[in-house]
Amino acid sequence: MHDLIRDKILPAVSKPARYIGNELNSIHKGHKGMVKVALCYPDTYEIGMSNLGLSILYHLIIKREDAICERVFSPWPDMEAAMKEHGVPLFSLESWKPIKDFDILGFSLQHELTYTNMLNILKLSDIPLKRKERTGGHPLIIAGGACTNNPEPLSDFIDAFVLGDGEEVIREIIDAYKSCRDRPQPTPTHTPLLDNLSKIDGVYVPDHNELKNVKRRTVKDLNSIDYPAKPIVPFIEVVHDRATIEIMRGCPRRCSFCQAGTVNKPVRLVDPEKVVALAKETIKNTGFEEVSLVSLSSCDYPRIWEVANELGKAFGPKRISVSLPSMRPDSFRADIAKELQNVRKSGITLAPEAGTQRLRDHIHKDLTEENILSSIGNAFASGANSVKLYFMIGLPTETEEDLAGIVALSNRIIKEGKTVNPRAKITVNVSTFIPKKNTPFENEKMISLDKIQKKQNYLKQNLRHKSIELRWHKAEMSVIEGLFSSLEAGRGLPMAKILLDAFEAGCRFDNWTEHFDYCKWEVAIAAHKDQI
Amino acid sequence: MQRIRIKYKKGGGLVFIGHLDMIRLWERAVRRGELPVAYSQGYNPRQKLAFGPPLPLGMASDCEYLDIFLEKWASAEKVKADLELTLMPGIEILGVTSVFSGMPSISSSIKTAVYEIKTVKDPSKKAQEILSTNSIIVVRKENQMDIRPMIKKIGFSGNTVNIEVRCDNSGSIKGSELKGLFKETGIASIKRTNLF
Repeated sequence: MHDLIRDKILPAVSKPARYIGNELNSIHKGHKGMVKVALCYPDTYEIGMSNLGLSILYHLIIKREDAICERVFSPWPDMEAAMKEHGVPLFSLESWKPIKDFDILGFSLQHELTYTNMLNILKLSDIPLKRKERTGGHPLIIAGGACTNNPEPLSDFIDAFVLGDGEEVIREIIDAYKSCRDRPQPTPTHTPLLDNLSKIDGVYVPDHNELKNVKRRTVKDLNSIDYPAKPIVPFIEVVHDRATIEIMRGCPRRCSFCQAGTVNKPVRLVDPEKVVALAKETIKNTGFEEVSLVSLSSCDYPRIWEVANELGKAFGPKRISVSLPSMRPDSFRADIAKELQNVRKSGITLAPEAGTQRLRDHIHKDLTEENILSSIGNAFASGANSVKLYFMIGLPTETEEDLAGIVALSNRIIKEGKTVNPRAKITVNVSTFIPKKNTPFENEKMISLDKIQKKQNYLKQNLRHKSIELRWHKAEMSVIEGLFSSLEAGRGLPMAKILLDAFEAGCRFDNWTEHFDYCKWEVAIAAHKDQI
Repeated sequence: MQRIRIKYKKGGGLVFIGHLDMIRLWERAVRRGELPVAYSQGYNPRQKLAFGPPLPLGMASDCEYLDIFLEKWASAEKVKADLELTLMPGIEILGVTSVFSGMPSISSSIKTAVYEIKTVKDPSKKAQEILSTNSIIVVRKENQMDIRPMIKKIGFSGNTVNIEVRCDNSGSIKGSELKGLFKETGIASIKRTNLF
């Protein structure tokens, strides 16, 4: 199989480096006697390799003496075709062994529009899609990540879901797998294993325990996590092509629409000393040109300026830049901004979310127009040329006035920005509100496709300043995402059946505009709506 | 400023890594090796590295070149040792020398590339056919192009062809075109063996 992949398949596909593994700091271990875990992010290599959670779990599994961990991502359609042509099943990056030969296949599910890719991973691995059609000879299929907030649409396909932080649970799952495997008489099914898994806190096992009784798992002290100091350095440019250091989990803000902020409780911090030491060690081991300090709201990390300053001093002379995503405008300090931006200039991102004070107050977005204007003014004055703004449409109680507010606020920002920096530009990103499960807004209504398009058109017609670039999420994609992640939007629809139909109709890479095929989804939805 | 020239071999899985990704790979190795590299001026300072002609994707090479400009002097041996500690399998450093900083760039001093093609079937007839013809037309983005004048020499013995082609600013043969020449005999492997 190796020769076939190397000589026939890889030379014929685009971006072959997506499939070859062997990157710096990737680890290749022998398989014999090991619990073999394949971790999968069901999207392209470039997206999957940008996920910090996957990197942490890879490290935690591979350092065990009794387990190995390998990666697999979604093959691009040309790769899928080449693999089919040569009869090669989906294989892992490290050993190029078939995924079917692994003991555990773990999916990182962060986005509902990767669900069809997840099914495709199973199909290309020759693993039955439905858990009831699988036996003990198939890998145990588990899933974690943000999507497990609403696992039911996937409960026909996934054996066990991890709710909440995965660092401790993955250890317990591998231990449970091992003790079942090493029993004197192995069983033909995973049933005894699933029974054991259902007793682990934070694990939901369909048919073995009740979702409502499963409590999310939380790592109490982030300092106890052995974060990877030697993360894999991709050969090709990935989406987040940099060292990523977590500084905080959870968010002290209470924005009513935000799922991550609502479910990740309590707020936990990584010690500043640990952050600084880990950042330095990671740079030494990877050679990355940028470090990103990540959390849901970086400025709420109590000693953020101290950490940023310390890293700025250490990395500045080496031309390594430090970036702080998820900054709130009210905390934007020009002096630090300058310190952090002294090497590579990157964009600044701010999220007012709504156009009027009334609506910002209603969604508990704790920000005033003065905050926004003064901090963005500071950013432009300190030398930034472009600022990205994030807004939502379709928020509960939204009126025409609120939409007009997005236009007015954007215009005002660019007008004031131009007075301090003539090259000032803003990008206005507009997404659609989805009443996600496990948020204060979970019972709110999601607006219809037609309304999303009308609101987007209003913004397209009215935001016409030449220094403002408007971007929006494809309305149809938001609709599908909503059906899977919102109890309200998906109510009464058999989403598992719809997903399977859409997949069988050929849906793949649904979060890629060039592949997303709304017609196929419409057909699948209509077929099942009629039965109700 | 000191100029260090590195000659290296590229093989293994790295044949699937393109030119721009190789640049980033070297920048990161230089950073890990903590070489006293010089940076460009300007908005986004970058390491001063200069590479030879890009190697076609999918091809191995015995003769890749790169110049590293250092802001502080370091011995060639030290640079080699620092890089070797941190480079990944697939790259083998063949030589490190300190060169005169005013020398012309690698890309402007190279005129010719030599490729070794291992064919599946006997290539002699095909090689003679190429040598005896006056023009070989290929299509590049709707334009027709004659690549025959770019072929300087072809030698062959057994199933191995050594082909010398023009490789400079006035135009070079693409990897795919090179493979196209020996499509009928089948290609088992192809690599760049020399640049001069």
